[in-house]
Amino acid sequence: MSITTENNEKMITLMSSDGEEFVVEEAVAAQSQTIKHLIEDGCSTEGSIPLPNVTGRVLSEVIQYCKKHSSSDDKEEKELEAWDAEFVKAADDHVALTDLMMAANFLDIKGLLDLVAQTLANMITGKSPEEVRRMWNIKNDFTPEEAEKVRKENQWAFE
Amino acid sequence: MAHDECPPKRTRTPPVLVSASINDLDEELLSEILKRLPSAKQTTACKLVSKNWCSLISTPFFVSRFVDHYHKRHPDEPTPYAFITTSFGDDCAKLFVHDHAYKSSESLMKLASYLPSTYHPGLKYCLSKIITSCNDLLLCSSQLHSKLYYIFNPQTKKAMPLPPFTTEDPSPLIVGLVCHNQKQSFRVVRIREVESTSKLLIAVETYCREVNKWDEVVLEPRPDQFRFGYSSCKLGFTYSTSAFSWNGFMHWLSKDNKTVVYNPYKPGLFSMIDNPASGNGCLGASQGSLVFFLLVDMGDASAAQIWELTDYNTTQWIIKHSVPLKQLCKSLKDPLVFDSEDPSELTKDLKLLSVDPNENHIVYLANFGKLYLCDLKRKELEVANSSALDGIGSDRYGNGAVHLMFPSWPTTIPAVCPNT
Repeated sequence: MSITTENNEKMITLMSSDGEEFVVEEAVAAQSQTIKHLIEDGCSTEGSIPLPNVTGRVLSEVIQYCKKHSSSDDKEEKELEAWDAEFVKAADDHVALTDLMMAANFLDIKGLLDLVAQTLANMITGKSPEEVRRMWNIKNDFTPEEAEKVRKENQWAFE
Repeated sequence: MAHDECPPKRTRTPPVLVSASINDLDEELLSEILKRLPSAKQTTACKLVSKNWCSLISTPFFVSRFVDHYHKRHPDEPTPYAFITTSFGDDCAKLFVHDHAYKSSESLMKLASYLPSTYHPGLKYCLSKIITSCNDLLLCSSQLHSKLYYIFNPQTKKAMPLPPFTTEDPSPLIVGLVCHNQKQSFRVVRIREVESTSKLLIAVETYCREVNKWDEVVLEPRPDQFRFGYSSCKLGFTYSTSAFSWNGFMHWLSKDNKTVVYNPYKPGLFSMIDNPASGNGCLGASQGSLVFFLLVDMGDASAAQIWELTDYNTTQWIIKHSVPLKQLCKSLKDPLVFDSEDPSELTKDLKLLSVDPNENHIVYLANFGKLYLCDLKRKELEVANSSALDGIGSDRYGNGAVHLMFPSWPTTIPAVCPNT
């Protein structure tokens, strides 16, 4: 794998928690504020940055997002929105969106965090608490009495 | 779309055994998701998902994030608004809700039925009257037990009784409710005159939410605060008046044509602002400023005017709209009803209800049971509802209307019962 592009763009190697290496342009990696600061602080030894919190599968999704967003400018907002929607739908088949969200948070990529959080919020919208629990395997830790109390105190939200 | 702009096709990778579930997200990330739900109602319903979700959604930290995000997402959305009326002997409050398209819808609400039954056993079945409002909260009292006040949020249908106030006099001159949104606190203020042989004394009784009790201070206003004599004007208050609450202050119109401003979080200070003109007027807030809507009585030249207070310190009013009453009446198919043929009396037969908080050229009027929308920009008057206002507007001094906002997150009312 070559380490410079035709434009002589500087390349950075990102290493996932499971040892997978990704070689990307610096501008792509710098979409992540965390990586950007690491590069600025000179923490990338020989252009390689270890990311102990992100698995290779998740990182591969993150990189796709960053590539797209570093090559698009603001004028293509509409097109970018459509791309984001497709991207997050496809990503959902490959990785858990919660993993993607945690990676976006750790890597400090605001756009990606917004995108994933909104997607997860949309999945909740219109669902009853029971349906939300089932969808994400959340344990109902209320006793029937406690649940009744919460329901009664917030009656307006259930009408 | 160019080929390389599509998300690349990927082959399915084998499943990974360990991946984070929604249960592994910390509070920070979970609130990132939940603050993006479309409404406070949907978010509140999520309290029933689990104890963890319930406690997160219940924190002021989360609520402020939800509100911030909501306004970022809907920057120009006007706050939905309603005004609400009750009339004596009526079982229910009438709620007129105005959506963004200025369509009004009407609903009825039996206020007292939402009071906790442990409170005052009789009160639950008594008729209520609405005294005043602040943001999304109403201050109500029982029509029979007028010493018993309660706070009511019509959106969440939560009621909170206040402890009875200590003084004997149940009818103060001014009553106001002021909310402090950041602190999720509120104060109720009752102002009355105290009998004194030599000087003017004012008693200010304040209910403070934080300590859940009433407190009274007696003030002797400085002469420059009240520039009129005790015997002639009696404070300048007209009759028992509900203060208009906005911007953390109570406001009301005095008899000698001033706007009186009182800050219940800084007791003891009244400020008086000279009004720009005299007539049948009401105070409101619109587009971020205090506005004074009035019908100036000038006989044939009588006009409807909207003034805006630019600054509390310079007390400068600027005129926003002035339309001859005759021109407004001409735009109507059915004529308004007036008690008197005397043109100088005309302005008094219209009951001023409310100024639209989102559009300062729209005001609501009542005349003999009909609700009118008055657009001072288009210079038009139209019937917004022809029968709904029975009991209000049919006489000059009948019940008016109080404003009600529907913020993106309703103000929480704790179900605290008084100590007594």
